[in-house]
Amino acid sequence: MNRSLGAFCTFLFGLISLQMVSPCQAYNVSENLSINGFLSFGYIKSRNNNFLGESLDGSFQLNEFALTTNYIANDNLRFGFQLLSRDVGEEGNNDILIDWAVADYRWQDWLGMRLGKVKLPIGLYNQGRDIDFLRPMAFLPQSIYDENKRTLVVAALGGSIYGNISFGDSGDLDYQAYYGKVDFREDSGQARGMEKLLGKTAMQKGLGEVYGFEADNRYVYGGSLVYAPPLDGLRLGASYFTGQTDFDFKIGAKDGYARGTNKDFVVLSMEYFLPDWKLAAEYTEFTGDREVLGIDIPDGRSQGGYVQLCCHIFEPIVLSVLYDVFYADKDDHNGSNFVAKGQPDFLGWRKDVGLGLRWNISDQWIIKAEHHWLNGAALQLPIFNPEGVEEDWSYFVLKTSFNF
Amino acid sequence: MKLLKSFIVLCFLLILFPGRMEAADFVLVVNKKNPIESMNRSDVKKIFLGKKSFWPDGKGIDVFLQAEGDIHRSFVYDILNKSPRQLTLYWKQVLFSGIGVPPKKLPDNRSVKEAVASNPQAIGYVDILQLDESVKQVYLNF
Repeated sequence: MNRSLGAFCTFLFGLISLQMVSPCQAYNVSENLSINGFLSFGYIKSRNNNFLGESLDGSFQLNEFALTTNYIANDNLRFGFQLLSRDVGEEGNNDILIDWAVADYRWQDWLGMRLGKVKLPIGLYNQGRDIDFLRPMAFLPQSIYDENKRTLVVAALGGSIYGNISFGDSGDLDYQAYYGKVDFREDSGQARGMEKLLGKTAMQKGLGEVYGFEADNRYVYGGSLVYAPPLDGLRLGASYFTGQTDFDFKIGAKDGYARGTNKDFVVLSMEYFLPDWKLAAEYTEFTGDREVLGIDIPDGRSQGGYVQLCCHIFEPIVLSVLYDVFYADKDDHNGSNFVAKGQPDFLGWRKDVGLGLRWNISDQWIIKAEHHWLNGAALQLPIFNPEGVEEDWSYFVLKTSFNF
Repeated sequence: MKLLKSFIVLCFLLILFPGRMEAADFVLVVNKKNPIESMNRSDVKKIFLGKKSFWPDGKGIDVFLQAEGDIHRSFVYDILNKSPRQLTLYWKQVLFSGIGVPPKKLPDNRSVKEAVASNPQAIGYVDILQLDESVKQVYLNF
């Protein structure tokens, strides 16, 4: 809480300082060197369940700060990096991390290469997922952009190739393909989910306490295609992701080992925008497979998708409406597999209806407020609610962001 | 209830028929040494969205945007089919995702003409009434 208040003071100080100077004068250090950044700060309050942290009592652990530097060496070569500090519930704790850092060589329009830590193109919005003022709501739709999976899918140390292929009057195609390793944080929702599963399995087998838990990503690879047809404002996308992570730990006096594989994460996307409104819809399927203490625990193939409509009601105000649904097992929408294990059926789904208002005070500063009504407790909700989860719950977010 | 219905109807009307400022006429300009005479609208759009970064001779394209104003607004609506705010957000997504750097933004027609006149790789847009001999007009093929 003190950390969050400190962050809030930093935010306010930064906001006041940045408003006092002209962006053009302050941040283009030279012709080829530029510095940019963003700050956001929010408050979340939920009812019936905690979401990502201790939100039942209200929480200010909802902030992001970033500083971005780019140096353009010549027509083909750019160097850049972004430092990011975020605190979202129990993840992040405002540690300052390298979000991305690249040497970007664009040979021609149809072929370029980035080496370093690259953001991963999953769906239409994953590469910009931490930038609050780009998101219509405080969080991207969780069926695809699950905050608990963020560590695995946000960026990788490795490289990517990319380009734009023109089809003349038939539109153009953006492509990206990548391979690398992820710096897997132990405070991520996915690592915490594995740790919880390990503890439960070890207890069932009478093997003792699990400690010294460490996550080590082996690889991630994938790619994306985004086609822009001749119809102005329409984008159609498809992306693919696969990754594997090993977990080492001590159990009793012995070394333990577990493995998590996230494979065939497929997202199909559609976005259509006009100057005053935007419609986005995405569909996903995802296979999880965990091996714990020699026991294979297939998590099955999950399924999800959303539809989101954003309209400018009048110039500075944008209204956003979201319907987002996720099923832990695409072949078990009723959660009967959970019932067979003695658990509530509603762990098998998560349905989210959200309504939000965003006030664009300027191109640099926004404020947004939103409310979500949810049914179901899939997507790791029990991690944040060890004493049990409720089927119906809701949350409210108030957030402000500044960028320069 | 009647008030709520009126509000909903008003919202729909505002969404369907949003208010626009009267369009200002702009022209696309390049450096006088640039051999380009005309361009397709789709190519212009790709240049200003960073998807096309090289001239036919292989040299990089230096893009100049204008700051907020009627000319910028007309260009962005007519050529890019976006609102100025959507264009700003587009480039901020590119910037903060680590996949590119936004074009330079200049305050007025005069500074765009100066930048284009002094840079053989430059492209920009100015008010048609401000067009002069210092830069070369590029005609748009629709």
